[in-house]
Amino acid sequence: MRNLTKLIFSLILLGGVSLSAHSGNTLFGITPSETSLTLPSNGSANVMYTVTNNANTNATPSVIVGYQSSGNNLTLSSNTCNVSLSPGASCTFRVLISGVNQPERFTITPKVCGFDGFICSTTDTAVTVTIVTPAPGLVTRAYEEIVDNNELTTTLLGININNTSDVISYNLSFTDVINSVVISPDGSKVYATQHDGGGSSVAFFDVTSDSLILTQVVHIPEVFLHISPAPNNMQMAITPDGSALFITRYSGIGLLPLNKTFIPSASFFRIDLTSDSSTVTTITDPDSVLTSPRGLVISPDSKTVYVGTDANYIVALPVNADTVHTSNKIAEGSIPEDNHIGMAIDSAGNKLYVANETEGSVSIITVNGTQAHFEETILNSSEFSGASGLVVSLDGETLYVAETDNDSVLAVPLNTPDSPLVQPSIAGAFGLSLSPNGSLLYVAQADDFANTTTIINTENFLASPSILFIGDPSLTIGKFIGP
Amino acid sequence: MVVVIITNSASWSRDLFRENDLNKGMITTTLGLMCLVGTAFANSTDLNFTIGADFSRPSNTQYVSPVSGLMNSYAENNFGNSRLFSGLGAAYNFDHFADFITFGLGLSFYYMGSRDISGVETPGITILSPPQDTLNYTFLTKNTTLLLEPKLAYTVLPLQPYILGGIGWARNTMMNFSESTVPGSLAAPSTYPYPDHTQTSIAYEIGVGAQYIVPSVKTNHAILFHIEYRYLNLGQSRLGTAQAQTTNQHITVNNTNNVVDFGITYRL
Repeated sequence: MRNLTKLIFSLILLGGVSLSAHSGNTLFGITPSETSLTLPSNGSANVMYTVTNNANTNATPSVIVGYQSSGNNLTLSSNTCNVSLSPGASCTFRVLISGVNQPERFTITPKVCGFDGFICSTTDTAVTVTIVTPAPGLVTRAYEEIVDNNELTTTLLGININNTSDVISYNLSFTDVINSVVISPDGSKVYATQHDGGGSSVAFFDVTSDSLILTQVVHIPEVFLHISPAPNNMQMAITPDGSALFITRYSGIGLLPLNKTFIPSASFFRIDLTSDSSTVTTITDPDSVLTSPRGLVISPDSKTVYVGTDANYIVALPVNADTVHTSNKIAEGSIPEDNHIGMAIDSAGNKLYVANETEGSVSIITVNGTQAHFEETILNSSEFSGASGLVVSLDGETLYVAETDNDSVLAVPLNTPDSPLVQPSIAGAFGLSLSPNGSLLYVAQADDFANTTTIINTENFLASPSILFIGDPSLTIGKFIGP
Repeated sequence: MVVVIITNSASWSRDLFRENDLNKGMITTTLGLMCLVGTAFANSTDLNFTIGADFSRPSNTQYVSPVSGLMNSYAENNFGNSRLFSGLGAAYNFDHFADFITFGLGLSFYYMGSRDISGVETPGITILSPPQDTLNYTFLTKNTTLLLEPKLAYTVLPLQPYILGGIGWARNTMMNFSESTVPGSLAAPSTYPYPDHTQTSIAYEIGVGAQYIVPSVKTNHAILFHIEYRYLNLGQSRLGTAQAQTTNQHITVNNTNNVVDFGITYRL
């Protein structure tokens, strides 16, 4: 009779569980910040989890990030959960995901245990990670637009980073002044901004045959071209999942080599890459928040785009938003009113670095999607000026900063930012991009007479860098090395 | 030289092996004890094999606190499974122990196949408000035992009822503990599962049965078929102490078994 009672009870229990969604109570509630991620095989991203103690007593969480996951290289980071949580209290941790050596698709379901591992909970939402892997045989190149001093000849170069004598090129109509070249996550396409006098556009190249084959030119709406001078600077960033391009276009800003006057004639666009039509969407700005957008960076999870301005704030916007509002400002008043053309985000996606061009400083903002918290501004002595290109080392411990006015590149240890290493004498150091393994730092040089690009070995930062003659200056900024 | 005397058709079984070959009996004894006792009255030796099933439904300990402040419930729910019971043994029989009564003293080794015990684990029953998320748990238990078995058989007819007892040692193992997530539950397996554990316990048994004897007039031997029930208590078994466990509490099982078996005996 006792056994029969147990059987009936168990059948009721099991039946109820299997037929209904989760409704029970477990020690820790574990909620991810997102449900899916797409990242390139040489990229990285992270998911933040919030852990809540559901017990009626204190419990100290211990986190196992790889539980029931076929993913590799999953790393626990930013863990605030290694303390005793009182009932109802919460903590957070992040799972860093490297795209290297991963299956094409996997899920992440971390486990959090309490009471010395004798009671454990898992998340109610598995995060699906999709890895975009470049096709085999594609050559990793540094792509830079170079323009002669008379702005008559513009060339897009693709420099093989493993054999710098191997260079592919394409003659663009004209270049914009500040420009960007980005590579699709699968490495098959290269996108280059250009300004051809008749308007601004993005040139699409197929590089699967290891040459630059123009396949499409997507024109940007000519909203402000009646204003003189025309907005001839463009920056661009591609979402890590390869679904969209974001473009900022703005007027000359007094940056080398041209001495233009700023005119608020800016615009901000998104090109949908998920279809062949490559639809361009103009992000509307009814609150005049982005009158002059500048630098661009997109969160590793492809969810949020951060836009630099010429004001004392940054704009954080969901990638699918069509309108910018005042509520999208972040760190307003905390960062200097300056020209924020350079931006970077760490591989964890929680530290946003913003170059303050005139001051030569860099502001650090903790971000979580469109939420932000200003941390500090570093390099704010008068020693540096012209902060432009920024890039974070793969381990997130070093920030590289191009100080154009100082003709130098800095390696800033983020735990001791007051003691940067200085690689001097890089004329017009402007855009920065790291090789996929982080060992090489390419420096685009905007100086009229440099005609070179400099390659720094990050493992021996102060050693004499390699200097590669490319014929003309380059104002390429953004992540221009890939795949 | 064996002399077989059949007295009459009704009572031949009692006297069938009256003058049995003592030397053959001695050969069968792996059992010194039987040899010592048997010299006075010995007149037959049995070699037997038995097989059957254990129909018991042992329950494990329901509540275990592996660390201070945490109590987990393990509610067994596997019903209907029986397990193999098998054994080999030898016995020495003393006829004329009493009228129509044969006293046998044997030594038997029994193996009880592994039993899969499973159920529903509810972790943290005292610290979480119901309904708590649950896990499925499972483990195996298996036992062997070596028993000294006295047996009294009423031998007036070919069909001979008997009672038996036994005392000895058991080796009890609990192993392969695992937890798995129940669909819809967010409870996950613990970091430190309970390891395997084997222990030795005192074992005893009582039983009743009946045997049917088929003599062979050519060899002076006989074959007996039996069917019996026995209650077998092999003591307790438990899972091991998990890494990081701070208490001395364990999941335990009391190995009380209800066995029905049948078998064959070769009587020398």
